[in-house]
Amino acid sequence: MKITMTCIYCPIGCTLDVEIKDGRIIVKGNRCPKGCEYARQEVTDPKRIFFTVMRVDGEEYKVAAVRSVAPLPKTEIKKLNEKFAKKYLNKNTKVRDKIANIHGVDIIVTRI
Amino acid sequence: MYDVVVIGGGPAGMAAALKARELVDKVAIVERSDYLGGILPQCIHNGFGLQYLKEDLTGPEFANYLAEKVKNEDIDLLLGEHVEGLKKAGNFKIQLIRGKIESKSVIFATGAKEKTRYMINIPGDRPSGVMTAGTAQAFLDMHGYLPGKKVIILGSGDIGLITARRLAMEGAEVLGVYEILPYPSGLPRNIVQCLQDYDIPLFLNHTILEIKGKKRVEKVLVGEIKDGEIVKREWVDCDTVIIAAGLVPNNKLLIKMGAEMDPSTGGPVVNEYLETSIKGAFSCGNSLVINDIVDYAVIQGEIAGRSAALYAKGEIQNRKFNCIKVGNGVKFVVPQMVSGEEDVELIMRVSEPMDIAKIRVGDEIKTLRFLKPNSMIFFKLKREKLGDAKAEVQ
Repeated sequence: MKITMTCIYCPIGCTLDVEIKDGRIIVKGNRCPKGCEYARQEVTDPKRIFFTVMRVDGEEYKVAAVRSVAPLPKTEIKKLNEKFAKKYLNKNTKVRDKIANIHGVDIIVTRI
Repeated sequence: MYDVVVIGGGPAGMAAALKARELVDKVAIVERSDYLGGILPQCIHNGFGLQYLKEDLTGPEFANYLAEKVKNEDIDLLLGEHVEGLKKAGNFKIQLIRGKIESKSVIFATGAKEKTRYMINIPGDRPSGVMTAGTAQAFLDMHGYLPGKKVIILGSGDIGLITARRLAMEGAEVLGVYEILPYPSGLPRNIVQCLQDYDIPLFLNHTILEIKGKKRVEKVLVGEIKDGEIVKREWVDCDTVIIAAGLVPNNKLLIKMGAEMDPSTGGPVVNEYLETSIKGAFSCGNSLVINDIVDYAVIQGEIAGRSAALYAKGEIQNRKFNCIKVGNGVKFVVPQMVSGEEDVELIMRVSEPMDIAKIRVGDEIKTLRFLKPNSMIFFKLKREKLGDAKAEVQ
């Protein structure tokens, strides 16, 4: 099976030709090793960085921003968004604080 | 008396102040909002800093990285301030809201503004629900309000694509991204992770012809364009129109001072020190040229910061500059002037997409692949290769 995809690792966006042959994944078109890594991940278990905003206790017009420190399964991002939309952050939380852990990946505060 | 005053506390301005502070003692940043970072704090997605920091950060984190450095340096922060007047009489005399300051040199890092509905002439009613992408982003990611439920996005630049994804993520129905050009303006990776990931359709050769709605947007007329003619029209029901039609460098102050401007970039004409036609006034970031990514704005900030500090120390003397001529296939070149005394890195854009092209500047020719007007080209030029100082696609 042959798949053409765009690497999303950096702004260059290499066009990757990925061939899956006898259980092996062959990647062509990548300009750096990250492209190969991305293609392998994308054909087996696509992942994305999760980010969203969260409400802060006692704040009416301000939300905090959070993200995952590593990519999480793409299929779960939407569910995570819904889950975090219902949560409140303590107002004493600081930037870089870990506020949750999803499948072993920390969720950190990026702005408060 | 300051050595360097930086106007604008966004990424380019912070980088400029930091670099200047390495060389001179008295540096200040004038910033109209009450925090540093410019537009970055509201860009909560990742993808910032890959080139400059070799790290994948979100906007707020990238801003923080620079802001923390600035705060640890002896740099005066004039936040919540605004430049009301600026005169050059030997030094620069800067009138702020809360008083006057004086500086040997000034760096303009005043960023850009988004094009509005009225700048791209979309006729129709004037209901609520029409806003720029930046406004939608501020509603959602600064204040926590979803600005619409059934949304149409005009413009496929990165800002349009990223706003489309954020709205979709938070449960809005994004009906499509409409792009008047035959190709998307955003980065390939954003086509994938913003549109394809969320099944948002992209309509190329399409634009919005009219907006209808009494109080709130009710529907828009979209048109398909072929060879400059409207070949198909269709009404689409929606409650929100997001305008993501590009950025315009914000240079009110420089224009007022009479600096020579480049109509092809919207920024001032600069030399390789990023000095404008007004001696001692420098420019960087999106007010100089609309950058693809923040990393480039920061690099320009560093160049302008170094130059302004050297100027304040009297080290950049009157040099003669040659104008770089913009030839066939090239949209613009920054800097527009070079002295030929130093190696320089030129920033260019091509005017049309090209699979493969030979780009020539002076005596240097480079073969580049997959060129698009929306991705900046960086062209290193050795001083002895300046030649006829013409940039063109061959």
